[in-house]
Amino acid sequence: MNNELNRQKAPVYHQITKIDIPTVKSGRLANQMPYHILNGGSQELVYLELKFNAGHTYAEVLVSTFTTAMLVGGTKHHNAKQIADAFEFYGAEVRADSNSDHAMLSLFCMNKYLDKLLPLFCELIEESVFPESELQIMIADRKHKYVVNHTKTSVLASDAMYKMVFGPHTYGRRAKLTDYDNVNSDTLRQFYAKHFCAANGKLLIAGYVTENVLRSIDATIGQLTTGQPVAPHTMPIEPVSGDKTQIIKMTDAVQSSLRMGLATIRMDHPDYHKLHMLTMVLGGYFGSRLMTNIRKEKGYTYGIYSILFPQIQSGLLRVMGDIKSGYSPQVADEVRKEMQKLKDQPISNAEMALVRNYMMGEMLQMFDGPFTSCDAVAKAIDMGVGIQYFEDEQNSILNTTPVELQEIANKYFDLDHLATAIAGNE
Amino acid sequence: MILFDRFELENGLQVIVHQDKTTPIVAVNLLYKVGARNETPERTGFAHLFEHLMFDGSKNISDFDQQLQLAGGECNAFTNNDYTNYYLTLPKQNIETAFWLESDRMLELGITKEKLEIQKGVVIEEYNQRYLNKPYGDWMLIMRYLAYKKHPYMWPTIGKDTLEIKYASLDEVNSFFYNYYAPNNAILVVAGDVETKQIRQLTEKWFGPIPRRDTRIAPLPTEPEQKIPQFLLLKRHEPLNAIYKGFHMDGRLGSRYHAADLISDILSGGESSRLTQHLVKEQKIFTNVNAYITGEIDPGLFIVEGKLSDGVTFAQAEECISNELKSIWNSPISETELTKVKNNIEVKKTISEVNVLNKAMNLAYFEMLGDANLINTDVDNYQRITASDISQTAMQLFRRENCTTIHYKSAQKSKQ
Repeated sequence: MNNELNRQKAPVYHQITKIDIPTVKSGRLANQMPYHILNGGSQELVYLELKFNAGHTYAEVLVSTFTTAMLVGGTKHHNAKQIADAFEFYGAEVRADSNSDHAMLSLFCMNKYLDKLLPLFCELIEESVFPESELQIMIADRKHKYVVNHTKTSVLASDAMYKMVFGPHTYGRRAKLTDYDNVNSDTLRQFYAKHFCAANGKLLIAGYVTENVLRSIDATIGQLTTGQPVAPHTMPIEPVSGDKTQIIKMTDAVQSSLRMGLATIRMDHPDYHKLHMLTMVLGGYFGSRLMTNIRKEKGYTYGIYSILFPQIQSGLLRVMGDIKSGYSPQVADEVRKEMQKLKDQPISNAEMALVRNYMMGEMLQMFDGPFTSCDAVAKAIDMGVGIQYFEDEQNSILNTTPVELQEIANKYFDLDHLATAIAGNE
Repeated sequence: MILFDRFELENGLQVIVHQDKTTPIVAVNLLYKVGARNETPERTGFAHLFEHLMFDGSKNISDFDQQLQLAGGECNAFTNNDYTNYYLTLPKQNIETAFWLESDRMLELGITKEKLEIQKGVVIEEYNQRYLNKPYGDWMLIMRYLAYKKHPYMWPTIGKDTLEIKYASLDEVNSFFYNYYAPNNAILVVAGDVETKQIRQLTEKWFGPIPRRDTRIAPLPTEPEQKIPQFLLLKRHEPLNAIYKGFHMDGRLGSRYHAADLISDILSGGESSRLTQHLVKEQKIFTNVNAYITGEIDPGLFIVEGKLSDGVTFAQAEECISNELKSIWNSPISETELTKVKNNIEVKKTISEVNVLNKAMNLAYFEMLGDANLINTDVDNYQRITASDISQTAMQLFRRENCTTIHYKSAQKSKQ
């Protein structure tokens, strides 16, 4: 039988033409907080993610960061150690984190411990007290991290790129070391009181979500104070003006970091799906144009990528790679050339098929259980496009043509406004 | 309970099949029993360089990634000191593509001199990105060099330096391949909505014709017991003072491995752990402190590391660490503390069973250790540990002479 084996010929593969997008059940808790349930999985694990409209955009620098991080720093009834003990005893993970748009508090635990943990979880949202001693420990830690991070080429290049792309907008704002000394617990308390309430938040529940789970949640999180919604400070985003290239000289660096960025459309824009696909062609997967050119053919990098990063007020097209010393300016030129090529010529049908199949496969994998998809689903909910986004994405992947991608490249690959930051010995 | 079937081909390839009907994805994991520990001292980093070459085309397939992407799949691989692991996931209806791809690169590679040179460049940039171009990035390189005198764990997976990789030749690549990338030195795991019969058929079809190879795998030297503490002071441009300590511990199958693992959780698993509570929160000696194990098959290292708070001396910091480690064996740990770390083991196990790729990787790993069923039973080795096991293990582990210490003294300190 082995004589028949032809190793040169690929086995027949099947096109994926339909992915089962899970349904998301949405509703409101007793206090009107909206919730979304992503049910599934065979393990009895549940993940709760509370998001508040309380990201960095909603306050002065570092206020959202520290308010969120300090949610586990002490409540009226429990100190930081008691809080950590209580969650960690059951192997539960509590995370408090913030980004430009949102403050997030999450809980990941086994179903059987949920009822024991929910009351304390609610305390964090409603009765945190921001003890000065804990705050000072956290400030010292964050300052150390800041100092360490700011010796890294990746951090310096990325910060410079964000500043160039978003200018005075809060998306481009970065903390200075001295800002850490101005953080004070009164400001955090005020921010907390106004922003961390049911009317200003939403809840994602993922995993093994039974009726009982929802009932327990409604009896706890559903009883939190309703409060008032808070509107974000919106600001227009001006295209980069002046110098669009910045080189941060670091003579000790053995490698340099290249970060390029361009403000672009939001996730709710009808072209977003196609732009996502185009970004994939450029640098979104191992076989992409950038990986082929810079890694595979030249060996100048371990990895170079482009991604489309959604935010409430503006999308961001980002290119990043850590590059062999001395070659970053040349690689930046190559990136621009690759973008120009996508504007000049439609991609081949073969490449189109490759990207299409890859993206369908990636999406199929993403929807393999609630925990692999909850980040993407949460993002879609946050950006206001909901689960329908993924149906549309699927249609777009299957039906977009090379000519349409070329049109999108010409519409959105605005090389005149592409910011380039390089940190290293260049 | 993870159920699986196991069979072996005539050429020695070990195969494990785990059925999970709940997922549209199938995971294919191929583990080769070769890692950095099998390298010669003058070609360190070679096993990892080799992993890169495995994606650079095989006898009949010029572009591995492209073929996989066409079938909607994703792949990656990692090398560590003990083994090299290749894994891919793809829609279950396209499973045969995985067999085609993986069997062809086990059969014969398609490496050219040019491709080799390019991959050397990529690996050198990986070396720079991960180890050199960030503060403290080289601590593990130095730690291994100081802590091991005989065993090849004395060098890291990435290699002692980038020069050795630079000199690797095509002949060396080929002889490495035929010696280690043999069906009789590999474990294949398939997990997903599959039947064992179907997998047996596919394995026979694609891997069956690959001949068994005459592998020569040198026995590894045993690391002698460390009798004298090792110490190195580094004056660097690193931004903060830092301490790294490594204690020799049992290998993966050693009797005290699991207790040592739990000790690392007691010391630094989460905010409620001892080092964080005592040394960061209460005494403010460190702004950040961690303990963990390297988790290797042969005797590995138990690591304690921390960044010193401003104004704290190395002597103070060392004394505080020492007191914390002593207290593990001086005073028995409480029932609550022991239950906590065991609860965490239970949760970790539950999480590890969520996804097929994870299950496939773990089955291959445990089979390499000797029995894939350890995926189900290894957790018992944790559950049966007593407070007295913990203190005895700690006493053995945290001896002064068993320790290697590195101090990074910040030369920029005065600027702050």
